[in-house]
Amino acid sequence: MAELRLCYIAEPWATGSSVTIASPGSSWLVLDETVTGTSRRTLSQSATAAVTTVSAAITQVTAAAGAATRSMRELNAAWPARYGITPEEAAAVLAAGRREAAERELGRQVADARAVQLLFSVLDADERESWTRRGFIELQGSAGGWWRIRNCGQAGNVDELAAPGGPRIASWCCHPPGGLPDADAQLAQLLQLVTDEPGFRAAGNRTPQRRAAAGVSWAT
Amino acid sequence: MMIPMAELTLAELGVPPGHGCISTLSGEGDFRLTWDPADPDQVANARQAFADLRRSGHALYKIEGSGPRRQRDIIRTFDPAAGALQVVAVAPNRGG
Repeated sequence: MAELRLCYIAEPWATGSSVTIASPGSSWLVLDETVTGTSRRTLSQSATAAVTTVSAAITQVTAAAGAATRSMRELNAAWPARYGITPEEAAAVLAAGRREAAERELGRQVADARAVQLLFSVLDADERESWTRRGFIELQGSAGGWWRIRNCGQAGNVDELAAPGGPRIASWCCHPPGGLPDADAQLAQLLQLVTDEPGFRAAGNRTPQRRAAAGVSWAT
Repeated sequence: MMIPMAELTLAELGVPPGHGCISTLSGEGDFRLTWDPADPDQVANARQAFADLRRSGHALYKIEGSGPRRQRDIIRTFDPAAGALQVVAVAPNRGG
């Protein structure tokens, strides 16, 4: 019988509950042994006794644990043959996938840089300074409301303010579709707020700030 | 990030001097259509692009001014022959 050292026993336990024991190979064996005592020592003795009676199962568990610890390299080497392709073909497929991922990432970075360039061409100097150094732009909407567009993504990044520079009273999620770069989406949010604030409110999803309702000021 | 010492202009977006530009936002970065107000073919192309964007439901904004405050207005009519103009076309915002 393979040796099984008890290294963990699930807690809390109560009389009548089942016991779960972990083997050193991280394989779990659930026993239906009824707990007869409340002390860990008693529990260990009960579990040990139960283990003795299921030696064949423990042998299988230990063997499975040993199999599971094979290196990833061995598993990767075994995988292609299992699916009828050679290791060289598998390596070529993986390499092509990595190249495509790198190209996508490069394209995303180029798009992000282009979007920031366009956003800066629309902002004035104060707004650019604020976006870059403080991470947001504050503006007044076409209907007189005050808003803060945060430079942190494009979902839920628009705050409705009580006053210029004041506490946030709600967060808004409203952005163009199509997976645009973040700076492009922020530009779209800015343009709609300064020209059609009611339209922005009608299209967006609002999340009120409960803390503000409780009288606690919201940190910027 | 470094802030340019000079205010960004259409020229720094790669738009030739005196030309107008319609920037249409897309997932790969904005597509910039430029036109020379003195070239009838380019003017016609820009006018057609504007009409197509309007028809597809895009919101079009005109960016004007320089110095401390830029003017951003929504536009519904467009005359590319009137001079250099910066226009941004955006698909309608939706709640997320």
